[in-house]
Amino acid sequence: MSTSESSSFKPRLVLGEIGMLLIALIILFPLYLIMITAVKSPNDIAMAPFGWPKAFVFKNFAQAWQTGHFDWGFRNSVLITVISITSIVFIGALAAYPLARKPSRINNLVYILFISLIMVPFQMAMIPLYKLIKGLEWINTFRAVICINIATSMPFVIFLYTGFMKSIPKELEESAIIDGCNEFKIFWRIVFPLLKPATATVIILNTLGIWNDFLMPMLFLQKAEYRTIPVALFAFQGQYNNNWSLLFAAMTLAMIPMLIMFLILQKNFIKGITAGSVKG
Amino acid sequence: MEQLPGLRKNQNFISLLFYGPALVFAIVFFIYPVVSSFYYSLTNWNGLAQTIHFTGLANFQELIRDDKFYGGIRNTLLYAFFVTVIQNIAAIALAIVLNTSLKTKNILRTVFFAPAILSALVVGYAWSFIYNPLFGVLNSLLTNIGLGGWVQDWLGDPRLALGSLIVVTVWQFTGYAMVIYLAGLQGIPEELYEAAAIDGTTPWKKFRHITFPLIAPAFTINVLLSVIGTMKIFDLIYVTTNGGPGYATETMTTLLYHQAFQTNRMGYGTAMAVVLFLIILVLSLFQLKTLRKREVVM
Amino acid sequence: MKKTSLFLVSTLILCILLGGMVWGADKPVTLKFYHWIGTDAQAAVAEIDAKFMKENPDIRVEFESAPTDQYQNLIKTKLASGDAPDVFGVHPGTEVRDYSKAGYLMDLSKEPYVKNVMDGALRVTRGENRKVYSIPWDMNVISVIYNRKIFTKLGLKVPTNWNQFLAACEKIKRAKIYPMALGNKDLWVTQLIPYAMAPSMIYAKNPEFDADMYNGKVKFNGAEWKAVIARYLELNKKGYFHPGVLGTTYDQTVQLVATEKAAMVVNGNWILAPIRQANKDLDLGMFPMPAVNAGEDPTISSAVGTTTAISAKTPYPEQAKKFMEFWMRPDNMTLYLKDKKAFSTLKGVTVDFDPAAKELAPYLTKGKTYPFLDQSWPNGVQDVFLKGYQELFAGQSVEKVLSDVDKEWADRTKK
Repeated sequence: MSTSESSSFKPRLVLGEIGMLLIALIILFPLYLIMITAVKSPNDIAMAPFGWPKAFVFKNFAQAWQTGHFDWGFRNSVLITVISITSIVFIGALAAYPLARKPSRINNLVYILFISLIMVPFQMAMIPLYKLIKGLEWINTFRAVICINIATSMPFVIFLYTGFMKSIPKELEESAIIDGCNEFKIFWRIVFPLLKPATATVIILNTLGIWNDFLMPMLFLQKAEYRTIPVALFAFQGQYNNNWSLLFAAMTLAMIPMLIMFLILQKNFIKGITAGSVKG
Repeated sequence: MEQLPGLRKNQNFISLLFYGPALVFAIVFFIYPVVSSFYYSLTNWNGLAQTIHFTGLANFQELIRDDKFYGGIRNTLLYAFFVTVIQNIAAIALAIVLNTSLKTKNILRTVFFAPAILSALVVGYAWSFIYNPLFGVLNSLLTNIGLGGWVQDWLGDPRLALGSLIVVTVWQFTGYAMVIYLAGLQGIPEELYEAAAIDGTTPWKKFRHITFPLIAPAFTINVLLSVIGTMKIFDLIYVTTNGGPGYATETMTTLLYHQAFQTNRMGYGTAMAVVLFLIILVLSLFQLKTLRKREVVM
Repeated sequence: MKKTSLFLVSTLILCILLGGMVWGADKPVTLKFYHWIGTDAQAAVAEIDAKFMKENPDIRVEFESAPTDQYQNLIKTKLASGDAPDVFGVHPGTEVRDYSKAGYLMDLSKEPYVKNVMDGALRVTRGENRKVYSIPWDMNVISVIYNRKIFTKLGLKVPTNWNQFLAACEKIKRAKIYPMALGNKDLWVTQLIPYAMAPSMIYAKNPEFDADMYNGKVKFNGAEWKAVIARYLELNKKGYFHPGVLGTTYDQTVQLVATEKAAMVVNGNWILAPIRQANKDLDLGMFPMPAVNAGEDPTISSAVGTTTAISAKTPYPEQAKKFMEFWMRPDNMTLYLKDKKAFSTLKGVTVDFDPAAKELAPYLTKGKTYPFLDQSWPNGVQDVFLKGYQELFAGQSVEKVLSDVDKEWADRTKK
């Protein structure tokens, strides 16, 4: 946009493309490494860690799937992620509405409370949290993990939603109030649909975080059948013996859903980031 | 909006209904545990015993004399600073280039973002392989293109380890920041640049006076995210160097995790977490104050 | 008529109640078994547990595993929150003492199989009151694993004293092979060479060295430890490792040995499994680190690796004890050890798990062994020492590192 006018810039454009492609290759290299290691045998990995596979061992994937119980892992990760994200979107958007629209002393305090939580490192809360979950008898339940996901994501989600809401013109809501609609209807019918880009952002950011989280699910979902994928990856790490082929194959399997999700949602994600950040 | 006092009370109640669920979750599963852990920082609990002894500020007094702790603070701040600066400069630059009508724009955007979807475990393993001093890709590449003298022990040399980790984080999240900047750039109207072109301004001036001020909101978010995220960094370091060699890459989070969970000094470790939180708080408030001022509202 | 039916009904109810109690007693009990051995010995654990359940149909065993790194945090969290498993793994030495002091472990001193366990092994499963709180399941030896083919090619014999060892390293280095692989990026590896040497250099002359440390008679920052560190660093200075040891991991040393780029590696017998997995055609052997003068026998670093305990608060003490007794039967132990690739803790039981390990057997029967050093140290000291080794290789002074360790020892032992 800024430099695309005259034809004298064309060589620069080509150079730009080449430069970017080179950078892209560098960026992709570690991913390439993960994927080719996934299809090698342990012997091949030892002998030629970076080379092209001597023989493609595709059954690594099947074996990784079985040993790591990816059938359970996928089911658990998907269940937890979907329920968490849905809840986070609704609870977060609901909470952001009054904080963005109805400034009052109390509301401002609540807003500050949430925002300040963004800075707290999770390790601080681990043991008291474990005691709490144990007290509720919620160890080895999905609801423990889901509730914690909701609680810890609220700060940033509310931050994003309030920022985005402030950029939506108030006229629509104001005319609805004059028409006598109750607040809840206003929120559902008018405001929430307009939040789509912010919602896409919230979905992408939190899905990545929740899908790849290993510390918290490891603490609370200890039974093998309830493990999420990142925790299942640890199954490939013996005390003294790592099975690298299986581990990398498992990591490749774990990457794929996130990649697909991003590819699908990226357009909306961009829109959401635009409005949320530029107007934030 | 004008409101009658009775209406205001009603408003507050309705507001409460809206943010009530979020508040309940946050209080029960986040705030309450965090506050409890503040309590632990005032004890010498070892994470194991059934009885806990209150020791007041003893942990904090010990922290002040602990030079490993200062090392941790130093590494955390260095890491946060360099990742934030490098990542944002690179992201802005890439976004600007990508914003021109490159044919491969969409693919490149996805490619650059891709590393952000990986978990810390995956990133750690892959990069440990790359950085291996004997047969890692980096050293092999350098040797093959005749720069054998540049071969180093990237993760094992205490002077280089932190830098090597900074590179990994920049690799992983620059694309992420770039996407945000790209969105910000797309909100800048063409007319502004065209007017500047007529006046004959240099590219650098264009950047300084048009681009940068108008992407200030994106800048604010990115810098805030970077700083907070890097101050809390744990997974990557745990998986690649575990704070080593020696204490060269220990950050506040790895130190506190080590103290609290591995050497049975839960009280002491939590005290570190409290200090970390306070530092982040101060930094964030400072950033918000200074960065918000620069933003231009469209 | 009514009285009879009343009588019949009440008898019926009584029968049902009593019958219920009897049946209730037969209701299956589920033992929660939690350990880190699930990855390295998964097959054996499953097999032994299945055998136990077959023999005891009224007891079910639920096994959960976690990788070692996470295991320690998880078990601590569980214990501290009152969620102790019935039977669980405990690391020998320090951990047994700490957990038993906090009241989490059941006293097993009077169990029948305890007399079948080697005394040396039991030493690290006793609490501070000398009672046995955990049962050792396997032992490992830290020694030099070497490539026999390379040795034969270079005409080398197994070195039996320090000078011979240095000479062998020199010859290997001249042949452009790395004499030893060293994975000091992984903290736990850094201590292995000192662990292999200290028994011969310090504890053979003074077996009560650690007791003397507790009494303040000796320190780390003294002649004995300085001598050990001096030899460790001497190997490095003479170039008998390879470039970049601080950036090399344990796994990468496995690769170096498997690809025959390194002739030796000082590590535990557990390293044999991954090496063989990477290259099954290697001719490997093992010999004790000869940190001795000519004519002396080395003292071998050999220690319990895995121990298992019963929760003091288990609701099923009898069943848990039965389970442990089952595991301690020689036939079951042998199954486990073959899979885990480790040495037995039971008297008179030897398991042939790897041809290389056989070479060590004569040394082990001679009995000059000493456990891994940290097992008698207070918690926290080992961690500082591990970091210290990395610092030494990065150029830090020996004085500073040893005095740091002394300081940690002092901090941890003051009441």
